[in-house]
Amino acid sequence: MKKKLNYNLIIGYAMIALVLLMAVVGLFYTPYPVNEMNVLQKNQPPSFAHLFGTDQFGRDIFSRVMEGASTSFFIALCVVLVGAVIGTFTGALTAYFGGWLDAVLMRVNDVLAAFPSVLLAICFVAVIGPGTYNLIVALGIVFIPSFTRVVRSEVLVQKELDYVRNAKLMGAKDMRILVFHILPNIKPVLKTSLLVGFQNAVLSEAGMSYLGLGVTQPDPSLGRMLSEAQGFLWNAPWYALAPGLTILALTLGLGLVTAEKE
Amino acid sequence: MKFILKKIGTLIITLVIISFLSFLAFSLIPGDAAVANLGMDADEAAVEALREELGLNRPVIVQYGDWLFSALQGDFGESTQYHLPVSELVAKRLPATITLAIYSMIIITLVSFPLGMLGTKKPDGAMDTAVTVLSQIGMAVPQFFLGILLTFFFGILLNWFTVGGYVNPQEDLGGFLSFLLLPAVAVAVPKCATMTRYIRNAVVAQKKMDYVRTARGKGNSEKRLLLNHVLINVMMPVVTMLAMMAADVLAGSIVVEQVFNIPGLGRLLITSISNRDYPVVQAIVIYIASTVVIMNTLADIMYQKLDPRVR
Amino acid sequence: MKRKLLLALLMFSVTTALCACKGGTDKGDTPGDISSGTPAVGGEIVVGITQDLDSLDPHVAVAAGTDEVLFNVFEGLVKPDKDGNFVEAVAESYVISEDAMTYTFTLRENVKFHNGKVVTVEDVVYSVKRCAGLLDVQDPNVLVDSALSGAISEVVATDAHTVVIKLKAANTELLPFLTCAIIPCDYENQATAPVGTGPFKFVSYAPLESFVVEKNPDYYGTPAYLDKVTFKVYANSDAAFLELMAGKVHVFPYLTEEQAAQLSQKYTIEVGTMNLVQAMFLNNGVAPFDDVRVRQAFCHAVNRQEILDMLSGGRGTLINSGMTPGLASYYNDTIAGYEYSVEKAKQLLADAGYANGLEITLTVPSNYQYHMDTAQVIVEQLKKVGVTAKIVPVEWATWLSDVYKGRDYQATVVGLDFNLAPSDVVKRYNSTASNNFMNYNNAEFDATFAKALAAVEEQEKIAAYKDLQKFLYEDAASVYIQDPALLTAVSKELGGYTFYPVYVQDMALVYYKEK
Repeated sequence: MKKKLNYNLIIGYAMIALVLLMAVVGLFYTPYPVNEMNVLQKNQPPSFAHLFGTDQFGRDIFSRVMEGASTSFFIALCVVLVGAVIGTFTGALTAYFGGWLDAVLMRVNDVLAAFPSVLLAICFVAVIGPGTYNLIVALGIVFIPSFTRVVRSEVLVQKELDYVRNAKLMGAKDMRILVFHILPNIKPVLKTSLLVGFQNAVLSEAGMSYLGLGVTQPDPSLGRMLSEAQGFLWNAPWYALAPGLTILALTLGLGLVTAEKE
Repeated sequence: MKFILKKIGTLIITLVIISFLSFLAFSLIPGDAAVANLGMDADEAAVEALREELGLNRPVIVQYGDWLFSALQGDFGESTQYHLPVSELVAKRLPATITLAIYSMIIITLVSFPLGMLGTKKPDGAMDTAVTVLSQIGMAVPQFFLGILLTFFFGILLNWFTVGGYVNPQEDLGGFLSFLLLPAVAVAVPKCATMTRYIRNAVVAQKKMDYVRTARGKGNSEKRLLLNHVLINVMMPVVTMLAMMAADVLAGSIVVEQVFNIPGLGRLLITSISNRDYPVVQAIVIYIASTVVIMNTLADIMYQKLDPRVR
Repeated sequence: MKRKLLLALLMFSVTTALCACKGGTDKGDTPGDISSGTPAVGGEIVVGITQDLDSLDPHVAVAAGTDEVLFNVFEGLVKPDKDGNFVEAVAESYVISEDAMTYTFTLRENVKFHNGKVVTVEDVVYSVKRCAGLLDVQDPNVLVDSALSGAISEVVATDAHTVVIKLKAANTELLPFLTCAIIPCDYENQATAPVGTGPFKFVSYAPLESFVVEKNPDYYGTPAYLDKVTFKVYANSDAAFLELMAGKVHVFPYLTEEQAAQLSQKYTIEVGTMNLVQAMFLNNGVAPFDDVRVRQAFCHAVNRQEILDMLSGGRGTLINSGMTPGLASYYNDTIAGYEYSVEKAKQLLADAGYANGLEITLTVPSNYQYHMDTAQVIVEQLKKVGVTAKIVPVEWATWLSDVYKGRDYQATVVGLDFNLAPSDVVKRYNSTASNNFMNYNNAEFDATFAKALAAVEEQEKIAAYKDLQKFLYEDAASVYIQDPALLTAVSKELGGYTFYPVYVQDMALVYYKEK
């Protein structure tokens, strides 16, 4: 049993590492300039010159996938950070202090949490418009409730524990107790939430960009590339496979690691 | 009873808040529906006249009250893009989306139960591992990518169905249902995976319970055990989970409609967003939000009915 | 038990999939006759469109995509033919007075609306007034045609068959606008069950789905061949393409180059033009484009042929000024155009003080994929002359309010369509025109335009319009690119598909070939 666990973890980490490598390298180097067009090289199948082939403008798909992967990573990271920071903040405060604010915020939180993230994000983007930063804002808000919920229930448990009582008896200030005593203790739970959140963020970003409500042209994004590639499924199926499999590798890797961490 | 009334009360308050928020949000969107509507060379007077007719010049709260009053009577206003009643537009799109969602729910139920039990005979055995790996992949794959893959294999390579060839249910019900099969699979797979894992873990956990051991000791057969004891106990959380999943399935349908070119609620929503057709966006957002909230309330009530301990 | 359930499910999916297959390929492609074939009467076809109808009321509809379809249902006093002439439709004949101040129309006898009612002068007066915004009670949804409202002073019926339109000023170019649909004056349901006089009558409409028309048996002119035409709405050409591959669509007009190449086995690919002036429009009123040298530099920097090669396999008609060859006699074909030259562009930019490069933004409506694609190609080309262009994709509504109305932009890429009157194409360059979103300002142009519009004598008019185009070219008002090619897939079973110099799809001419 022990052996099998490691197996999944290794594969999971390997997949994440692969995509991460593509994304990080993509920040500094791509085989071809991302937007460089070439009339003579339109819709080429994969070859040594173009690993994943070329698109309808003769752009190198591999280079675009690399750049798209960094965009996805960047957005997902921002989204999870926004969600986690604000979520932890509200979750910890409401749980620790309780009262009417806690009741109201939790009602709002429950309603928001009931919505599938893509739906809620669509609603927000309908109001503020598409675009990379708007998407981060929309998804960031959408991701707050799950963190609030996790942190709140954890803090509720922790604050009744002896070490908190002791700290209180010793005259420590509430904020000090929260930040220096309770927060470090909920780290493990937060870590899993971050992983799950990150996977969801990657999926949501791809979905929104696919719908044309996320990253806008001409910036490459994995979701956008998929929607563009759909029209070339007949004569250039590799165009859709490249970004699709990249997303899948990332989300599957994250899924495997989370499953083992749980 | 008191519990149910309380739940319904919360439900109504939540719905009012949602409707007000979405109303507020959509009257603040930049971009003028009147200008968009009259096109390139409309003169100022015409734009002003239309703004007046659409009631865009009144205070937001008055517009909301007015809107809510009509909405309660089933009148969601007129689409600024199609010049048709919103309720009619939405009603025409609903069958496709609802059928797709129900279809997916059926697939989820039919597939995840057997699949979830498959590995539980020998936890961590070969079959169990296979199911786990499968569900891991299922959970990770984005629905739209799955849709594209299905299109590619069944539509293009095998040529089994017409890609994008949506059939109107009024013309050909059979064609409609068979066309929706692949989209429904695309919507269902990730949820199937989640459900399968959930059922698997629940069954494995139940099997370790004392009462199962006792029953087994009494000489009950494995099959009887599974059906009479384990399944009944697993059923309750699973049904609740299914009800909660309805929202996710609805969200999935909206994305997948785009992949398969199905003229459902999702496509209407996305199109209306880019046309700034507020009345339609508003109505759909509120419709979906209400469905989600109502489904959750139902799940809560059901959970309470099945397990009186929850109050 | 578990296994059985799974198996049953599998069986179910396989059989349904097979059923779907049958439905899909039955109608498939029978090898078509290559010769044009003799027309057979009857039959039904499916025509793909990518823009949903915005209204069924022809006077309310704004989108070009709607006009294109409604052309089959509605007619005006006159209607355009495939050569760009205006032929009598509801009117039997017309006379334009010597001073070009009065247009007199004699109605055709016994033209019937689709609801059986005979067209009367009241209907005609009502319809023209409605389009021109001259009714006492005007429906605010109606898009008032500014060309009509600006020109017409009075519309009257002088007897039961004659309608006289009096103008405020001499204007010989009003005929193209009198194609506005004639509708019954006392009919309320135009928006849901439209009634016109055209060769096809309305059957049904489902938003985002389809618009269906059937043959009008009472049509006064040459009746349509086909019994029924379904205009099916697709989200985009990709979605339509997949159905084209399955042979379920008979006519589809907006293929990309790649799609056309793949469909050439199954379909006849007809090549026409979109009748658009596609250009990178520059805001002459703001830096850096307030400097003519910068504008000229951009004209040299954009490799228009490469755009055509990239986007439409080299097809499309390059234009050198603000008019397309579709407007036959008015088009100035002596303008050479700016040659593609990186050196000249760099030199001009250096002269203007931008030797070290320049950054601009291109505001492009994101719903028009073709213009988006064009913009992406242009951005790459501009890099070669040291210009960094950033594309800002916007929604159509935002484009209209910010760029077109607000003139708050540097450069944009769109295509402008126009009515078949030469004045309609170039009047926006008047320094005072409300739709002069380029902020083009040239006093000489204004004077010449006034002369062109008032000219009654045709040669004088032609000369003036040719001069106008030359001004636009010399001032490099914008980077004019092309009139894009329109690639249309037409089923090999069909004949008679005809391109018009305006944006319409005339289904009355389409027929199944006799087997």
